[in-house]
Amino acid sequence: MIGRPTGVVFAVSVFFLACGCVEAAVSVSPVIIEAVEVKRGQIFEILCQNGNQHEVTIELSLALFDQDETGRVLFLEDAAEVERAGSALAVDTGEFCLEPGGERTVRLELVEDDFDHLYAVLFVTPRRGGVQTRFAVLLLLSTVDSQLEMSVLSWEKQADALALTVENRGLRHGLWEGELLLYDELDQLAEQRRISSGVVLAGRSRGVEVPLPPWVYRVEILSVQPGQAR
Amino acid sequence: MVRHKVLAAVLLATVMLGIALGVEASGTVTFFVKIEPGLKISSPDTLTFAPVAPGQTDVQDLNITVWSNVRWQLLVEAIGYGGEGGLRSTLEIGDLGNWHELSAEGDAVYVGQPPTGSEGITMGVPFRFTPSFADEPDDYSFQVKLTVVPAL
Repeated sequence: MIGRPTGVVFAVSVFFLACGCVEAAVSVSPVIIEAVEVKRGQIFEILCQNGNQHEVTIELSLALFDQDETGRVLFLEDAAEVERAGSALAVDTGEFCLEPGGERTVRLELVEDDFDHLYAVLFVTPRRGGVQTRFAVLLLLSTVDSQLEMSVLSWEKQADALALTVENRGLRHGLWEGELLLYDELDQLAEQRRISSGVVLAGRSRGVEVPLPPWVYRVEILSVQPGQAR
Repeated sequence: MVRHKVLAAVLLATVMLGIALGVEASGTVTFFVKIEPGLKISSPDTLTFAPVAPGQTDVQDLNITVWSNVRWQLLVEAIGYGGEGGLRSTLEIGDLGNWHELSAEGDAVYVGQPPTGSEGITMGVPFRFTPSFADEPDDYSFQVKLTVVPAL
């Protein structure tokens, strides 16, 4: 924070660091990298493009991420987690300049594979003075390709929705996919609906809420994965 | 008889050659493409609030545009705001009519947003500033960080 009392006007003007009012547009892809059976030495590539009319300096940094019970991504940026990410992955550069309209492919090398799963994030940050934007490239890596161990931990039919909690007991991330059988007041099967939990990280569970039509009287849940019907 | 057989063979060979040429002329090629998940964001460098006195508030919208072909979420965090020696005034971010004080931990403003399509989506993220009597009259500046991340 920068401040110097003027003692003249009893008012506060707050502004995001001023350095012009130029709009900045940068794009990054892919922003999710999912890989199983990864091995040391494996390379992942991320393309950064500058859509601006001016040069942009891009900074790169690594951290870890997790997800909460709603499935939301949580960044783990403490020193220990940053160090852990940096010991497993090596970026080919810490920063670079992109010419107007230019692009560059960033290479990430897996330098360590003594894990079952690694959830790392590469932050791609265009260097700017004021409103800082950054991209989070999520890497969901697993050294194994074991069978998914997804299950519905609990579920509850509410007035206008079905609330599910899906658990992943496996060693790698995955999706739970299932089918809802919706019965009406006469207990007749009236509709079948496919649903998906979204990605659940290894050892995590997440809630899923599915809106239901008002006529639904009873619900059955079937897993599309073999042996997991409920 | 032999002559007829020869003629028939020549005719058959001609037809086969024609078919072969025809197949080549109207041949199709299968293209394989892969589209990666990508994100693009555009935002102004600055957002300036009007001068306000303690107890008053000023609301400004930060207009940002996001392009994404996957579900995404946006996190907002203040850098160096409210820490030791920092502003005691209140900076809040609007979320569906509710105001949440902005923290250094990051607030998820838009969660589980659908893909935007080619036009992208422009959003006015509202910020509300309320000065405190604990802060001296002055011009202040601080940084706000927007992180766009694919939703899982």
